[in-house]
Amino acid sequence: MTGTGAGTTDPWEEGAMLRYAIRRILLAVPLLFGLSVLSFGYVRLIPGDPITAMLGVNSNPTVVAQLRERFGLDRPLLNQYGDWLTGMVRGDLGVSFRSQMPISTIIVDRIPATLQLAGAALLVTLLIAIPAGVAAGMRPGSRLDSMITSATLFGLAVPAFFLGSLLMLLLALKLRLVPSQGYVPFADDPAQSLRLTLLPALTLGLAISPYLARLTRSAVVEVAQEPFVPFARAKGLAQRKISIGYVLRNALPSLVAALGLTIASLIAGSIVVEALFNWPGMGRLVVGAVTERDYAMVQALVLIYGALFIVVNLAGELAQGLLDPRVRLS
Amino acid sequence: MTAPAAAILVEQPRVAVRRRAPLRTVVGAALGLLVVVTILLGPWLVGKDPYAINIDNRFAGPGAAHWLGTDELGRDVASRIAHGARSTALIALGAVAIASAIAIPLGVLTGFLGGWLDLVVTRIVDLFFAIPSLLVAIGVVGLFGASLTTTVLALGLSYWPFYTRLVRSAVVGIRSRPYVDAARVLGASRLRVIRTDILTGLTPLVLVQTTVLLGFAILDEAALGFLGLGVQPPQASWGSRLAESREFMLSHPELALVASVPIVVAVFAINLLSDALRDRLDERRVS
Repeated sequence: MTGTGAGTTDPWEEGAMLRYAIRRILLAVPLLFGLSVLSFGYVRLIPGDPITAMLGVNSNPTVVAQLRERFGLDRPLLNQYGDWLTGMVRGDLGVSFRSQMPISTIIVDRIPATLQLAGAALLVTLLIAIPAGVAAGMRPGSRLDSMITSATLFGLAVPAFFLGSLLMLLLALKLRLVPSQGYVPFADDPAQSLRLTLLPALTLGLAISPYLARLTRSAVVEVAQEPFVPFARAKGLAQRKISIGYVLRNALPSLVAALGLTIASLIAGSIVVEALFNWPGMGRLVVGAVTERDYAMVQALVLIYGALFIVVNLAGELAQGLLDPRVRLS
Repeated sequence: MTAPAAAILVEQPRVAVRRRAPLRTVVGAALGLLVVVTILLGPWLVGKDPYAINIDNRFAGPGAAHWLGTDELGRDVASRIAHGARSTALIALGAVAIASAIAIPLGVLTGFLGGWLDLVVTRIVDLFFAIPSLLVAIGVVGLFGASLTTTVLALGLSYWPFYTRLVRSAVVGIRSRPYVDAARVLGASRLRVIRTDILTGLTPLVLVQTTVLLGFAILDEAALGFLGLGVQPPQASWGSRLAESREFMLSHPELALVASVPIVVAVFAINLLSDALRDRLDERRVS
């Protein structure tokens, strides 16, 4: 366990970290490329063609042909893909089949709301899940561990919309502590914006806490079984100091990886929570686009969500490499 | 929920000293029995038509006539939940069947044979892994339109990448065990090794994974239903019941809460049972 601390050795020394970072980034590139093919192929998978699917079988063939031409759907597939790829690199995701507005503009409008919700929810999760996971993992098999494990098993069974409706009923409708629904941009009215964020963020944060708590517990259990823990105890170190200074410190690289996985739950959860609280983020955009059969929009959003997840996990892997020499040297 | 998140239900490290009271298992079994009884006998026990509309008697409270009250159209809520349990169970079983039908053969072949097939499939799985599974499901619904059949397909297709990865890594582990080498040395064909050694070794994982995925499928059916992308009202399912109650979220929040309770009970029971099952099978493997 020596030399695990980033503070004791410079991770950038001897170029190991740089080589590790380049290798990780190079692995992400084909993944992003594959994602672009997948999201492009998605619209072409639609039985018949996307315009007919959107307008219905009895739509006017002339209108369909016009729209196909307008969106470039009548051109050879390879050309379409080329345009889609070059457009994407320039930040142009095409035009919405429904509103005919540039998709990039629509999505950029929605990003602040989703980020605000996700960020606040992540904060709630970190405050609940990390302490719970550490407490359970430090003494596996104890009464406290058993209680926390039962609680996470129950928490995993509670859907976000149930939790959200319950919180809305209690905190907003009965106690009238917070507004039940709505969204105000942070820049317009910070105080009101935060008040409105509270309920959805609490819902989403509580909903994904069991996942992170379980991941934290397994990371901590693994480290707590190392011989240095009883040794530290034998030396007379305080439990607090062992938990935070040694166990948590050594579990940190796995925790960072766990956090990357939690982002996927956060994204999935945000789609539901945004629907519940009428939160105008990207999640509502996805559901709306699928309901309205706006395939260009669905395609763009699949790409954005996928790219987001790949980038977050890349960042997690890089942080892991910085924190743990065993990772970057492997 | 999401595919990577599903991993945490199966990948908790085992602790040798853990001696856990069977209380959790008992609770899980009791709740599980309740759910099974609801699915099998519920509609008969309630004995009401889940589609009979009575506008004069909407939003009635619980009572002798309607055990759980009536909904926004005056339909019997208990009956809708009991009938919905059947659709939801059908969807969950169908989704797990589809995911297993893809993941088990694919995971066994790639894990056992390796080579270029393994490389290609692993890359494709990695790619699907980048998309949250609920989003994959939403995408499938976008292709085929929301319905009960689409929900089964959408959920099945959103679970296979994670499941394939799990099966593949288990097979890689089993393949390197001494008894597999022994079988090969004794002249067993590849097919025989797969049938007798690999598939047998895989059984605990498949059993645990089936229960875990059933829980996820129930939650995701409900989530899709809630978003209006699952089973479409008026057809009864736990998800569609949520979609219906959502419109009355602010005026009659109790409808949404009552609609969620069976989901929580069923998934909690499944989680407890899969946890117990995993402990049990782990013990057996050690001894």
